[in-house]
Amino acid sequence: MGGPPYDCLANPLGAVRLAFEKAIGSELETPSTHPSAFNGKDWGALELFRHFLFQESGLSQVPILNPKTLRWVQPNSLVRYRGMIQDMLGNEFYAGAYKDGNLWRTNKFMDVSQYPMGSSPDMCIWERRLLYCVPVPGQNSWTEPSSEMEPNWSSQTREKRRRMDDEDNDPMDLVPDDEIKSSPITKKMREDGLPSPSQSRDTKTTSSSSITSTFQSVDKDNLPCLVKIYDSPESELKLNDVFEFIGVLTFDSELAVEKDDNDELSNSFYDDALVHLPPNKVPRLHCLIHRKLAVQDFLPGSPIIEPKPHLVKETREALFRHLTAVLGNDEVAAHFVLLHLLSKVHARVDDVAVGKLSLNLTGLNKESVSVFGTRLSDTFKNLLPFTNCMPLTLEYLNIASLAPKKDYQANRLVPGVLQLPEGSHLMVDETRLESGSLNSTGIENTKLLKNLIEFQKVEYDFQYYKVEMATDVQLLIFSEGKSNIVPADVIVPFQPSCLESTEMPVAEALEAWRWYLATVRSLPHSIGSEIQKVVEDDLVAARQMDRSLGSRDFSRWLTMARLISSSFGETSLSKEHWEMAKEMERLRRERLK
Amino acid sequence: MAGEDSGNPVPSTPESPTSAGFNTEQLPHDSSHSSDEEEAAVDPEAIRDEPDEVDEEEDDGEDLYNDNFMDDYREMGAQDQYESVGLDESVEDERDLDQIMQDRRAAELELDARDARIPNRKLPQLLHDQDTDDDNYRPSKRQRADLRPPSAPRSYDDTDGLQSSPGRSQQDHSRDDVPMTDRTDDYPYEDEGDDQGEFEMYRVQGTLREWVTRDEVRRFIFKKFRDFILTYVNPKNGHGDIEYVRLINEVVSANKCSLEIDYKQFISVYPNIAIWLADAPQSVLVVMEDVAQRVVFDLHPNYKNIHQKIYIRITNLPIYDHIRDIRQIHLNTMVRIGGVVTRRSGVFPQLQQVKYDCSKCGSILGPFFQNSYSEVKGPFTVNIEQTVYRNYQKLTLQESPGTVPAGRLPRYKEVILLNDLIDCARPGEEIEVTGIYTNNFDMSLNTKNGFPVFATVVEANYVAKKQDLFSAYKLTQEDKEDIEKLARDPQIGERIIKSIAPSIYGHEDKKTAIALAMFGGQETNVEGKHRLRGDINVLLLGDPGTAKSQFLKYVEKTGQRAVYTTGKGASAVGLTAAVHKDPVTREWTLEGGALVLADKGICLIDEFDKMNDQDRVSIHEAMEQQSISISKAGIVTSLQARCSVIAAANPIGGRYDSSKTFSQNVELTDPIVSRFDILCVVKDIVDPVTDEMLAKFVVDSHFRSQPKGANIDDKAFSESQEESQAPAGLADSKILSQELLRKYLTYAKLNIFPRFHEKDMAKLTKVYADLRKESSRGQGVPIAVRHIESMIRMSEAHARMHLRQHVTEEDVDMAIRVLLESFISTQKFGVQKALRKSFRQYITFKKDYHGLLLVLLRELVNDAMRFEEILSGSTQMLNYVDVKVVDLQAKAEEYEITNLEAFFSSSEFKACYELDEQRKVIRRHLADDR
Repeated sequence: MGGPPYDCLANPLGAVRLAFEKAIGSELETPSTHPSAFNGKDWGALELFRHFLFQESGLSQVPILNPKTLRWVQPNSLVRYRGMIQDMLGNEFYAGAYKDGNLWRTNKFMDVSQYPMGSSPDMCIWERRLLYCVPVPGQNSWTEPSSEMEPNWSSQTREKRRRMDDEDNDPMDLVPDDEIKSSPITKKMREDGLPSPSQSRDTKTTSSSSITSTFQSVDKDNLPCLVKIYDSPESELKLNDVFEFIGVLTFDSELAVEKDDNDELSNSFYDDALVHLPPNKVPRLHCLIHRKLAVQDFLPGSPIIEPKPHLVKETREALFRHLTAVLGNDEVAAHFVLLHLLSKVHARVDDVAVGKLSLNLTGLNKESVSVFGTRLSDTFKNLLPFTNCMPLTLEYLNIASLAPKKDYQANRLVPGVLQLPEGSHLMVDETRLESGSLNSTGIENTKLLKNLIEFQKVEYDFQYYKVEMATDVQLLIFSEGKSNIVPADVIVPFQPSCLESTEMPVAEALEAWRWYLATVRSLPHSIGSEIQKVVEDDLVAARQMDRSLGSRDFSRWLTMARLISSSFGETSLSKEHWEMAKEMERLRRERLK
Repeated sequence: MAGEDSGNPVPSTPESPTSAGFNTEQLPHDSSHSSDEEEAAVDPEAIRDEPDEVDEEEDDGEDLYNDNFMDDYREMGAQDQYESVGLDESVEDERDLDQIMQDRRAAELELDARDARIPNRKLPQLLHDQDTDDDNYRPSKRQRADLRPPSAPRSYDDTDGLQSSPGRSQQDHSRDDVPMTDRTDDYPYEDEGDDQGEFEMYRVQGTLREWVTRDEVRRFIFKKFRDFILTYVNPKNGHGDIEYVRLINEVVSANKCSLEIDYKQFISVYPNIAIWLADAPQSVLVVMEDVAQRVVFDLHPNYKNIHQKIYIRITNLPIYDHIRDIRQIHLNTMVRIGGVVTRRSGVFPQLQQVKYDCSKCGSILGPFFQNSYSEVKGPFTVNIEQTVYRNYQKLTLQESPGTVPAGRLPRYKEVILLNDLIDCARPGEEIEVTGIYTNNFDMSLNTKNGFPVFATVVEANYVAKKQDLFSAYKLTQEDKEDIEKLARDPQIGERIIKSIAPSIYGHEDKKTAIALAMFGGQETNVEGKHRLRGDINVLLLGDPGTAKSQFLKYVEKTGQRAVYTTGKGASAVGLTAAVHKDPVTREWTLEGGALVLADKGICLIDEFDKMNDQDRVSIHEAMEQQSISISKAGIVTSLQARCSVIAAANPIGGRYDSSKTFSQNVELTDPIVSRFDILCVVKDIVDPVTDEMLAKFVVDSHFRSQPKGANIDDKAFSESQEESQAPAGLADSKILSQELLRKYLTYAKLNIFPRFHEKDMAKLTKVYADLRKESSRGQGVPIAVRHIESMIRMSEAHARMHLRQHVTEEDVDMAIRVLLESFISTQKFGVQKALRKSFRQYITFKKDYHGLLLVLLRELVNDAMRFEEILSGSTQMLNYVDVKVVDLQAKAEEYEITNLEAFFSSSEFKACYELDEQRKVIRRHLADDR
């Protein structure tokens, strides 16, 4: 193929069409392949794009869709969108191929047919799935790729825009966010309340704004996207997964919603959620190719670096020093925080989520939280891709909607605070809690939190019944005494020895730490049979010493041992690391006394 | 077509256009015929080429559908014909060519009809099922009629099926055509001309949907359906009544306007029309409703004054689809889907038969008829007086929670209800809808999206409510077979008990109790006055950290309609019920607590001893009478709480003290305690063996389990769970998968209603008398008449576990054992041993001897260790302990266990012990603590 005869980037639909015509051979009167034979499946167009994106490394030229790029990206061009699947809107039938005169045309990857359709009887009805995606909750600014790959046709504004973008980015990086205090509530208010001012550029915020206001609409940092999936099995895409979708953008602010208000029936009982997502607010993306994003994919220029032992150890040492400094020279706490950051659910055995290690730092009060909590929160923001904070006040518990809830009126899943993708970090600040009474929402919410931390599961409210969804969220709790609302796996009394603030780490160090956390977390792990015997004997002995130890404690020790071992880049447990885990547990127990 | 009607005398001539119906389903309805014709033309040519052998057909005959068919066939005595391929010519000679042609066309017709269906649906399979029922009662006259036509077409078709392609669908036809043809000949009295027309009818020309709108076809359907209504006799009830005349009478007497037609009955008589009905339901239904109307009004002329229209409701449609699996191939066909109603609109009048006034000339246009899925829009004004309206309602049907794969959200579909179906379901109810899946160019959507996107709806024809509780776990025929096969396993009881909470190690007695409670006894109503509960209540009392809560959580997950709560009660409603004022209407309303919500299920109460006082009072009633009486705020009522209670409680002071009696150990009053059928006291016994098991289990669950990424969906997940358990040492092949266990439970609860026999009563009475004697002496739980009931319940539950409709002696023995164990465990430690001895014969019944022996052996090891400790002052230096086999044997004989061979070779034994055959000692290696 001597270079593609079409521009995959600017005119992806042209490429699709060419491939379609080639596949059916529509130059002939009677097509050699009847379009119905495709049955909506791919006819070779995807191969074309895959080649373009990955072989010819066109991927970096594809602009990422966000509120900034949305201003200049042309409709019907190739874009990519990174987001979390927040809702699944079911499937949709469309006239996939139809006969225009003697020629077969296709509507695949399009919202609007490019040629008049008439009422041609020759038509194939195909199917596509709709996913409602939102930016990942709590996504940190470092994960956003730098916008260096603007396409050529906007190169004259390139330099300028770049400066602008940098300006936009920098304040976010530097200004310490006060998110820990009130962010989810204010954020929620912003979403639920009237459309924010930045929306005013949407000229047609007309009749439907009352409906859309319940959902996120286009504002500065929140661009939802309706992704239409064509060629992939259903099992590939799951709720709350973070994906990158590459496809054709259709964002047509001209297509205003015209509601025939005289049609009472359809208004009072409309059957489609799409009505609530007018195309002028929510861009549509006709997905050609999608890929699941792991943390590594967010690392800038992420060539997979071999986790060399000395490199891992060095990075670990540096990160540990940094954490110790952040935690006011409390080494024990720093150790546990490091392990906590590396934890993830790696298996589920019945109800037990193996591998989680939630951490409760006790001995904090309002004042110390404002120092250390903020510091930690900032540190995590720089280290982890998705971080969230939750101020556990009475008011918050009684008002907040933590669990996602199905709204049958709008036929949408209303997001809750706990609808988080795998690998999110959630900080819960319990120091602010005061005595008072909980209402039924509050009770419901505490139950949810407890379920989340114990089983790593969140119950989604479907009104008539509840559905349990497995999650994988790292929970860190700040509290004065041991938290009973959110009972963590590990309770560490926090004993800082100095209050000095730490200096900002350099960018290279941050990058190395991000890489370290992402890589080490996904290391496989195993245990040799000799060490297994040692571990088992130790557990038995421990239980004979102290009858109160149960499987939960054992499980925690093993998790700790595993994480310690992984933190050194090892893939199998060694005796040394097991001893280290026991030692850490001993130090922790001493503090508890 | 006309050309062929003149009759082509040579059967071998290709008759290409006849197969126009071929595959219509897969093409857009209006795709040109030309391509079809080409395809179809291939077949007949191929037929002539080489007539082949029958045995080759057998090779190809892996087709699932056809196995039954062959059998039927033989029953009908048509076997000879089947074999006699070579007889073709003679047969042909006897009959005139026209007849042959007719037969042939008829046969081909069937192929076409069949062909059109096969790619999409599984209907043919059902046809077969039906046929098997059917053949047995078909009148002999019809059978004779069968014999006549099929031979000629079959011979062609056989060859056709053989060599034209190895494709399955081809194969189908060759066999299917036989019974199909005989159906068409249902009326042998009718003259030849009629027959000819009939064959003609079955040969679909063009698409099926167009075909059935033709006048002659409609007339044909009309006639056949009328015959069906007026003549169909249900073979299952032997009265010989004409089924639908009786049903019509019922409909009329109930003042209804819907006649329910059983699809399976219909398809057994007129398979072709039934398939048409499923594939092109709209037009066929119109005809059928016309028939129903006429027949009803013929039989009951005055009924016209009550209802103007009679609707046909199709019940028993064989294919069930998940909402998730509905695809475009289902468009405009009949589907049956199930789910939860999540939204219901108000009732709207919808124009049905519209007449328009022309604004120019003033003449009235119409009537126009309207479908539920499209609306007429034009520049005319509706004539209000002459237009007929009908009721119209929309439902949203969402997938039932049990059927959604993990990580996905439930899908939904719109359902349209018309006429008398309005308000047949409420939001929150689980229903099953049979209806037509239709689409349209939704105009409003179009303008909104600027794109031809189709909105789809299901126009309900028949709505069935699923009242039963177990709908979340549907049982297929295979499931049922699996379950019945399982039940034949003599060890099924033990296997089920083992499969309860397989992740929790040990605790056989708890598992037994929970298994019994989950299966449940049989509720009895003595002479309609006195209800005896069938539900089994279990109390788990034990030291903290003995997996009590885990058991409850497990049951919540596995059991049907299980409600989990804690004694403290998370909600203000608590356990029983509460009355509160509705903030909007200011009306007092009742709200059920956990016990009421768990009606007909299992109520799981953790921290039972920490109940509030209010609940404590009403729980007395709830647990025995299984109802909750309310008299508050002017509301006096009684709520049903027919649930079994599985409760967990902690002993006073946190630890169970064996030197005290049961009631001293728990903060519960005797009346409440006596309401529990089974009491399980769980003591955390210091035992290195269990500790070791626990350690091993935890380590394994960390390092041997599958990585999380492997759990792609539900199925894979459960599999990985099993796999992860397999190496955990405690799992063996005996453990049922949780999915299967759940199904087994469902099946048992739905189908098995064990009965207790008087003759077993004697045994119970004796045990009861003995126990009562003992209980008056000891200080355990007092024994009351209730305990006899408990034993009956438990034996029923045990029988149900084995899918037995009658309680056998084995069940009774098991019940006695469980009760005795429960009783003995409540006694003071000192009394226990004596009791164990006196009731030995009952206790050892069917118990897992290995477990018992392991306990005995452990005791011996402990004794030996203590001995060593006394001797040497410490066990620290001890590497192993030896126990003499003779000692174990002696101990075992106390329990009437004589043969230890099996025990020595069991995995439990081998895990920790070593048998030295020569020295006759058992060696126990001790953990290397240093």
